[in-house]
Amino acid sequence: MAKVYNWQLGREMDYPYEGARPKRQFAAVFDTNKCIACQSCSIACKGAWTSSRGQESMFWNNVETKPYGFFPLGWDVKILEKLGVRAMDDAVYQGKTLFEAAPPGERVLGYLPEDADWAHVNLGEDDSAGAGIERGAHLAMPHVQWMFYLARICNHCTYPACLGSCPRQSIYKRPEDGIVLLDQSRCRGYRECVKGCPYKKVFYNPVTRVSEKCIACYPRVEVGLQSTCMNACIGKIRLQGWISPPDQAREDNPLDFLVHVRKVAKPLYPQFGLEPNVYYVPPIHVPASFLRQMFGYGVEDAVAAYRKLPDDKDLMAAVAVFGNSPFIVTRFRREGDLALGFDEQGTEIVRVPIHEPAILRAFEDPERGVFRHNNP
Amino acid sequence: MRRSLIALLSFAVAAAAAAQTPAPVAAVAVPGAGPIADEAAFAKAPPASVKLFPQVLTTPHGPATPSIGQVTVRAVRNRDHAGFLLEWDDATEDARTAVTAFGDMAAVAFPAQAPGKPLPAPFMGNAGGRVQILQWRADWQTDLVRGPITVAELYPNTYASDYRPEDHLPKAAGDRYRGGVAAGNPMSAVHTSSVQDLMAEGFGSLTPRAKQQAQGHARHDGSGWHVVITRPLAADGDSAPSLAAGTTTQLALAVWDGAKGEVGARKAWAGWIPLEIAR
Repeated sequence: MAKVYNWQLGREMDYPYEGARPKRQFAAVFDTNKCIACQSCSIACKGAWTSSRGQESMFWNNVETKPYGFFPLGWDVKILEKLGVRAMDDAVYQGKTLFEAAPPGERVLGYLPEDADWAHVNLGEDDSAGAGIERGAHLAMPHVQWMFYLARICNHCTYPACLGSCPRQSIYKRPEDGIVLLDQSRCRGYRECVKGCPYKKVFYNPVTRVSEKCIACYPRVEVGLQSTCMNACIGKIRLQGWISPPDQAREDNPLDFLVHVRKVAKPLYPQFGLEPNVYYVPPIHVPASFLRQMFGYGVEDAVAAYRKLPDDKDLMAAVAVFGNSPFIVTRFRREGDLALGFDEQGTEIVRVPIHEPAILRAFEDPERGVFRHNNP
Repeated sequence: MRRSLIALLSFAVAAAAAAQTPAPVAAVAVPGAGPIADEAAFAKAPPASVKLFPQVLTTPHGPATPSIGQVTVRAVRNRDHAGFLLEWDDATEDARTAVTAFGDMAAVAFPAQAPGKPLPAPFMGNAGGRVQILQWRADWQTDLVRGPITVAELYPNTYASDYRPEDHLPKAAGDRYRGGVAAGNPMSAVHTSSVQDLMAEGFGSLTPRAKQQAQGHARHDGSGWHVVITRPLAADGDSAPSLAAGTTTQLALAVWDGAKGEVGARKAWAGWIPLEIAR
């Protein structure tokens, strides 16, 4: 295996191919604190790409309820169990990646989920489990339980395990934008990629007998538009753009600013070693030990930085850019209390206040002689 | 470095296989012409028992102990076609593929190197050393018998919306929702043969030949497979060598047990075995 540098782990690691970073890298930031699992993203993606025969259980975009929701069933706990508990307490990762932990004769440590594991997306995830309502389960205060929604797409990894595990180079990473694509004419349906991707974002289509995956809506990206899942997000939790390696980070690039400058967004399971390119603002109410396992070293700092959001106008401006244009915002800046976003050509495509104006109306409306209920 | 090591290993294994000089497979002459689809045609062909080894030359490896360790091979030729009958024990008939279901398969390979070039590596060939590979697939055979796979057959209790773009759009537009079909991938096509006619020049280079000339017929008798693979005797371009009467060449074998998740490089195989086509 070749040696490549993974900045998320702060060290070199083994990878089946030589490292070659694309000219620019597709990336996104998802703010888990804002996601309500409305599934608008999932439906937008499904309607656009996976409504054909053989794609019934395919969700290139899904939103699952953490910690006990999964798609496919148990995807992350299963691979974490195989990899073993790895401490994420150091800026330089000391454990093994999935490439380094590959058993003899394999390229990557992986597993193939069962057919049924894909079959019941979201079913029961938000239901009261365990004791059950009929046996007296109820919400007690203080509320010690926690949960959050985790929206997931293909991470268009810098070092994709799907690409690394395909024995016939049917998967490639585009040099122009870092999007990882599966060549539909070359695949022979071996499912090594389905086995190898720890995020389980490559899917086997039993009708066409080849595997398929998220294409980052590349026809949209090629004309400067955000992918359809990002565009459909009514909660404005997503921002798509281009991420630089940390030594080339630009403060006026909103992705770089969130990931490298303010460091409020972290990769999903960086210990796997794929350098995934969807970054998450971690949920601020979740125990640190869980977050560290899921988002890696420095996640507590990300939570702390995000908690200071009201005092950090530049960060507010970066967050305000989310979901306010169908186009990809490549640069942003703050002007007073306004956030401005620009496209590749420098055209202004976003101009929004960093504080949304809020008007509090009195409970009693003397003019009409009524009280206002549920109507701020 | 890795490639050269693999090439070296392939050569070493090929050399070792050649050093053992397995008994030749004799393709006896039978009357008639056209594709050979009948096991009865092999009644007078002498059986050759071939031991299979796990594929460990390239990753991913086949199982250390192959579930199929032995194949019996018979060969015949008629006026214009050659036929190969492969028989092996496999109690499970894996004839449909789903996410975790892999199909049983078998393949024969012939050297197809340019004139004057050395014999290619028996295992998928090597750069500049081409091989022709005829791969029989149980799931394709099921397609021929029962029609293409449907989701309702695979997952009887599944429910999904009945609106399918391919049912409502002009073909070209509808096919865009079926990636493998739109891209012209033979894996996704409606099959007319259970055997795919391929060529290769090294690991990862397996490519369907422009002209698909192989046919097949198979039967699972509850304890194992009896698979007939047939192709024309005549050469086709530079990817299908001549198997004309009187030819002495080689053949290599591979078998996959779908129940064990064997697919692609995860297989058991045997290197070059002399093949003598009767005059």
